[in-house]
Amino acid sequence: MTHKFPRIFIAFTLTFALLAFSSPPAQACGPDSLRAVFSYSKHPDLPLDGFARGRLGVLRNTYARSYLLVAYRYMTGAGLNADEQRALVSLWNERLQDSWEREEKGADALDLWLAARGKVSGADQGPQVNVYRRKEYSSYHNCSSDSFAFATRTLNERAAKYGATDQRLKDWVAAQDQVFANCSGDATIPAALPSDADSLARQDRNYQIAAANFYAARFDEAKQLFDEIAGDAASPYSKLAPYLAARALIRKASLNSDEEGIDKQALAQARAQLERVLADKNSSENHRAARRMLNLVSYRLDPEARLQELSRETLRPNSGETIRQDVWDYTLLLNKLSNEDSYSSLDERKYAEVPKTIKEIEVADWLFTFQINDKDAAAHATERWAETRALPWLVAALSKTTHDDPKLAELLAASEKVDRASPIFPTVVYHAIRLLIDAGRTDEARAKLDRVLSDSKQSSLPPSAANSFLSQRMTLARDMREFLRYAQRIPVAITYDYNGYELPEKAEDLAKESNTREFARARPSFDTDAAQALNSAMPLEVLSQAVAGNALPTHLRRELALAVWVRAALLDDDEAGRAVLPTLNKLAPELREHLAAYASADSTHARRFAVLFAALKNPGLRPLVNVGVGRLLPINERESFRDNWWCAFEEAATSDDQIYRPAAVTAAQNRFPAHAPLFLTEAQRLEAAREIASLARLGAGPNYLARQAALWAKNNPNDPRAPEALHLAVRSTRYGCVDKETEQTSRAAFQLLHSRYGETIWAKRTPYWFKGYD
Amino acid sequence: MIVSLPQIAKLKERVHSRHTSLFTATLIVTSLLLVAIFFAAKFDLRKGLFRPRAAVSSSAASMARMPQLILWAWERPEDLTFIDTRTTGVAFLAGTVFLSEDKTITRPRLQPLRVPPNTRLISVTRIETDRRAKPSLSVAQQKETVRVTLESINRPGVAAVQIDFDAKDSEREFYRELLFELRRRLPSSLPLTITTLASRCASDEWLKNLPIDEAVPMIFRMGADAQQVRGLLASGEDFKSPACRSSVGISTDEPLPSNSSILKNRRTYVFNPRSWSPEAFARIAQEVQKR
Repeated sequence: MTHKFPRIFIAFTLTFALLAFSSPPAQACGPDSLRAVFSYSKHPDLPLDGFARGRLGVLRNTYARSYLLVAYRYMTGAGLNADEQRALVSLWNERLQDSWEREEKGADALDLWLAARGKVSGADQGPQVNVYRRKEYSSYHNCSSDSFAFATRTLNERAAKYGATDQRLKDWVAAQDQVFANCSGDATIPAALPSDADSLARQDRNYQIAAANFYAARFDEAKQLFDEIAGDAASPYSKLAPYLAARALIRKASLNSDEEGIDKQALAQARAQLERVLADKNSSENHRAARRMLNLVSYRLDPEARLQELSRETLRPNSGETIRQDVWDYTLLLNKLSNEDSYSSLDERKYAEVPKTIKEIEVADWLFTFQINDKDAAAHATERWAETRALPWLVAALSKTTHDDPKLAELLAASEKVDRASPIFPTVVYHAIRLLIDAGRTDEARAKLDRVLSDSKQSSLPPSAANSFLSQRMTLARDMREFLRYAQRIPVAITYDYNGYELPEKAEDLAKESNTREFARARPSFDTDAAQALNSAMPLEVLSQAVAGNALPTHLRRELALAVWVRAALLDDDEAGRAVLPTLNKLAPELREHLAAYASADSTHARRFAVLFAALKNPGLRPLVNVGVGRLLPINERESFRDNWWCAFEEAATSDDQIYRPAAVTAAQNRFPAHAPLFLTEAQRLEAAREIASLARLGAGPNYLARQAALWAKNNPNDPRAPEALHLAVRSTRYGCVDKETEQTSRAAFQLLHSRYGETIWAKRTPYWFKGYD
Repeated sequence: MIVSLPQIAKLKERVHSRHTSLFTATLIVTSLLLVAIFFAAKFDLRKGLFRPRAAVSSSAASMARMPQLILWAWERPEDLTFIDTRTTGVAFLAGTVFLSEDKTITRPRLQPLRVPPNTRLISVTRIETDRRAKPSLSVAQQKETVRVTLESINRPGVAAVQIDFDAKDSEREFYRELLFELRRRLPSSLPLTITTLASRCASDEWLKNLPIDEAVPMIFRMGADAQQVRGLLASGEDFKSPACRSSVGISTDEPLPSNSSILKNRRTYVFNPRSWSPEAFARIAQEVQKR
């Protein structure tokens, strides 16, 4: 127990944290994989101080509601003062912590108590303390870190008063051990001291007895004992005791909840008790904690009324540090009332299913409308904007509307009126540009974007927002050079994303491992949109030109050159293949032997085989550029999780269909029309579509490699590379992307190897062929 | 996946002669092993080696009595009073152990669970390892994990134990020893099961010889392995590891593998990404039954 109120405040917070965040977001099982994040989706850019100061960037509907609430405050002019900024950054940082980090902090307070206890003369190591108390199949956090902090402080005070060897101190420690034994075990109540004992020792002991009853879940007894302590004006605990009596009632109500609901009677008693504490002017040091507990009681007794109250409180200007707890409670209450938990998917939510209680409150309604991706939410946003002309509703409407909306002109006109200095300006202009692009007004969109990107150099746009604009700008590129300029972006995070919060790995950790070292420093990569455009929307002719230019940094140029070389072989395009040879000779020296074989080959077939033989020996070779961090292995190493060679291309229905979309996703993500790069001529688009269709017909990489290896061996039986190629081809059907055709191609290569080259080491090294699947 | 050698006559002959010599060698080695085991048992050497084996057979009988449908009750409030305990059991997350450097941090289940009387329960201990501060995987960490798991069985209705640990290659030895120690200390009649990535069941030798009654292949949230595993099942092949052939783990938010006849009549564990409701239960029960 404690009477250090900020700590109680923390305890309250922690209790909620444990209840709400006891499990991290749903994680996929499977191998660890490093990935690049180009725009954060769960939270704004880190550190979060910038967002708290109003550097909102491009607001995303996937952000947690606490961030959106702050954006709402900025849009309505309330903003955040310095105290409020600090308070909310602290809330966000705590929520982004791994749940285990929070657990460890609790353990630290216990360690400090045990250390202080150990200094008392003659004290043994002390009993093991388990802070959780079991109730049927679950447990609850019975002894919080402030319980141990308070005990530590009391111990130090008594040690200073009595001396470390005094028997009274030893007795106090022994009784406190009993108190903490109740955190998890059967009731162990210290014995009362005789009436002739030292008065402070007796008062301490009475407090310990009450606390022991509290932890032993004997709440009626605890309440009565705290009431008695409250009546003993001489006790140092007398002012605190009424508050603790209320806590006993609240704990009783919480633990006695059953299918009938919470114990409202105990909560009502707690409320009356807390109101008495608040009415007592002599107990002002308890008021803050009592008010918070009263909020908790209101939360439990009448959540809808509390929601109304918190809707006001969280928007109150200059609310000081109370905003932290209010926002915490508010967001949890919204989760509770909307029946959401950390596993709820944004895509599953429907505006029609949002409870009326939430819809009736302007800010809560805005939060849900902005977040939900359905037609009802879009219609509601536009309707509310038409009614109110308020900035938050303009933002919601802009973010959801489509270019064929009858109100488009009106919305775009309204967006023009938003001050460039407004924190929400990047979001507004982002969506205005999106709508202009979709409406085919590309020159207007480009002009706006160029202004934003030019201004951003001065205004230091958050990196996530900058990447979102670069993505848009890439779609409007007028030539390949411009395209490549905007296609390469620096990720905001390189992460394994263990807890689902998109937290970047530390540069020093990345630097430790050879395969991640290169990501320790910021370097550009291709985001999904850029990679998709390069891989699926451009003909070889254009890609070859990109390799020849100097618009890309060396590592991306090498990657593109390798992709072009392999693709050229698959498409029998000798010209494109030859065009990248000088670049590869310089940037891929490990392929020297294969490049030389290619250069000296005397036919298209021989050149194709030279490339495919190189691919068989280098599982990282593929007719594609990688997204983000890529394979993390040298091209000659096999990846354990089958990220080797390539999977079958999917043929697009038309040259414009689903080729690529901007990477900076928003609420309107699913309604982005797909665009081929605008600078491509019609002939180039058709050629790209033709090439993709040809590649699609070749099937999965390993199947193609196995077929080609067999074909080469049949036509060139004396080529010493033939048996090795067959061996490698069979192996590729084990470690690469396979399908229903694999069984046939793998077996054919295997049989040819054994029938024609049965005595070779390659046949001996190939005891099996491999089966694919549907 | 690996398939048998084709019927090529030439190879057959060679294989046959190799088989003959292999058979003789195997016979000699097996005889020697049997003699060694007999003497070891006779002189009561390495008792621990034998206890788990005895326990497995006893616990296997208990495992056979577990219902064929098991609902996973994860860390969220769960009211499962609507289940029919004759056909359905519950595997509830009883606690989580987090290993980081030398530290072992444990957290029990914090969310309520309600089940009808007589429900057959499996208490699940989930093990997580710190990806940033690598755990030392010490004996102390093993002991604490065993202690927490043993503590979890002291609840009404607990009829089996399950360990949920996506162990990396470097963590397997620790995991293996943990399972042996756990098996040694669990009541002999109490089954010990584990969850496992389905891809490991398809190709992994590691599951062999573990003192477990069941390894539940999780055919959901499979990431990069999804295609491989679904393909394997669709082709009618079974998991290579025998421990993986008596059960399967699925999720209500991912489709069951098509043509998964191989999974018929196996104990099915079902994960629900939110609190269970009678409707969600009815849907999945019907789907599992149809399969």
